[in-house]
Amino acid sequence: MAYYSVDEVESAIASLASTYPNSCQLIELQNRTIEGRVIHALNIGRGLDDHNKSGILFTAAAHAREWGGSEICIYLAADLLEAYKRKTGLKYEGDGGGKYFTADQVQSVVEDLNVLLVPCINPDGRHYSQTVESLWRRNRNPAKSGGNPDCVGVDLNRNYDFLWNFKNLFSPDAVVRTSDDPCDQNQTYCGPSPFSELETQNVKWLLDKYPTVKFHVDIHSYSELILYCWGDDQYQSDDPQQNFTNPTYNRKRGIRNDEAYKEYVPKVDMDTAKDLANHIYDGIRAVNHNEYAVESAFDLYATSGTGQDYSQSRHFSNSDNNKILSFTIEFGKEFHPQWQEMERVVKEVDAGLLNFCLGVEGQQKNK
Amino acid sequence: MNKEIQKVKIKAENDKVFIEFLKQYPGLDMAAERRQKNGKIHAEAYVEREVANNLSKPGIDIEIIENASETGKQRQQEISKTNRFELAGEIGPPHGFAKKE
Repeated sequence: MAYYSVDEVESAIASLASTYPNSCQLIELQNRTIEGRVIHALNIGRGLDDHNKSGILFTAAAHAREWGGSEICIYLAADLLEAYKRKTGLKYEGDGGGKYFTADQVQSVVEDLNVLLVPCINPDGRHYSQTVESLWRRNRNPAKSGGNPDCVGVDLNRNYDFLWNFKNLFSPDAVVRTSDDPCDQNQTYCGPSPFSELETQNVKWLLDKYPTVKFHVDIHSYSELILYCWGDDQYQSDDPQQNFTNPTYNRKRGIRNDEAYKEYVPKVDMDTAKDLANHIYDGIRAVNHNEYAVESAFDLYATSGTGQDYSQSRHFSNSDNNKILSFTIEFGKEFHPQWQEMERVVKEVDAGLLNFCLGVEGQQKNK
Repeated sequence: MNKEIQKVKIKAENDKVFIEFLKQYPGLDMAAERRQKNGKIHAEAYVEREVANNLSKPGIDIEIIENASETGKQRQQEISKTNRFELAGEIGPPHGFAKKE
């Protein structure tokens, strides 16, 4: 076994789509990458047009060096599709006793939900990381590099339209892990404008096209964390006016434990988010007794322009948009462990994500 | 970026020391920031050796863990050399790691 190359990521999901045509669909994303690569998503379910079924979007490998995210998505899809066809359950074995999902649970995920997976948001970056600079994080857009190879690329997870203009929107005293310098060695360059990048436009396109998507999990590494919103500041559920759209709070955001600003989230949404995050935790823990931390994305410092915050913010920015609850997983303990270790990580994270799907299905039933 | 990058472990005494450290070195390529139960902050960073050698300061311990560039080259040998699913009809689709039972 080995990590998937970029070409294999595409051919793997194409082969799943051709093998299981009645239970999944291949979706070509709107934009090719700057190096001309086509990106596909795979939807598991009967189709994303059914408004009675919640869609769950899993995105992975936005950061080039975080290789295992693609495998987590593909093997989850493979498990679900094969078990559904064979009418079996799924048993994720591990040091902690394992996690078993019944055939009925597999059936309910495939038939009652839509699980939309994008295994590799950033194939140009992944290819570069896998063949040249293993620690590369960004995409491969050379537009702002000035010809300097160290300055190529944009951090896709800082390029979304959520408090993107961090220097004007956060407190001058805040540590915001975002950079407006293409040559910054921390590799967090946010790009020349929000959604400047073809890859982030692709995610926006999916969310615009499929309003049945109600949950989003962005898969990253590493740290063994399960994060719920928000990333710009601590959250609060008392003051709806204290939110990212309100210019009154510009230059006040991003300071921990102050009274100047906390980002609003309705209590009912936060309760649901915590419950679903704990579903991921429970699924992961059952496999190897590995205890991921569950917390808000803003813990030690602030971020701007992340995919997680963007997808959850869409409903607040425009009430015509569907409400999405968003999460980030930081899997594992290094960017690309030896493959044998990665297999262990894939098993436990896939159990966590499948348990998350069942949590969503339970939420759907209760409404 | 084509340099020898070291993976370093950073241990900060507390939040305040860590935040001041980040302000002093905004260009650090960071990962794995976690608050410990004793209030200390542990993190990891990917930096050139000469940078790593100059990061220590009161309240901040720095330990070089490995040559991350070298480890990365080894991991690149674990990338599939063929396209296993190009001819899906012949070899079949990928299979996940769960037992189907």
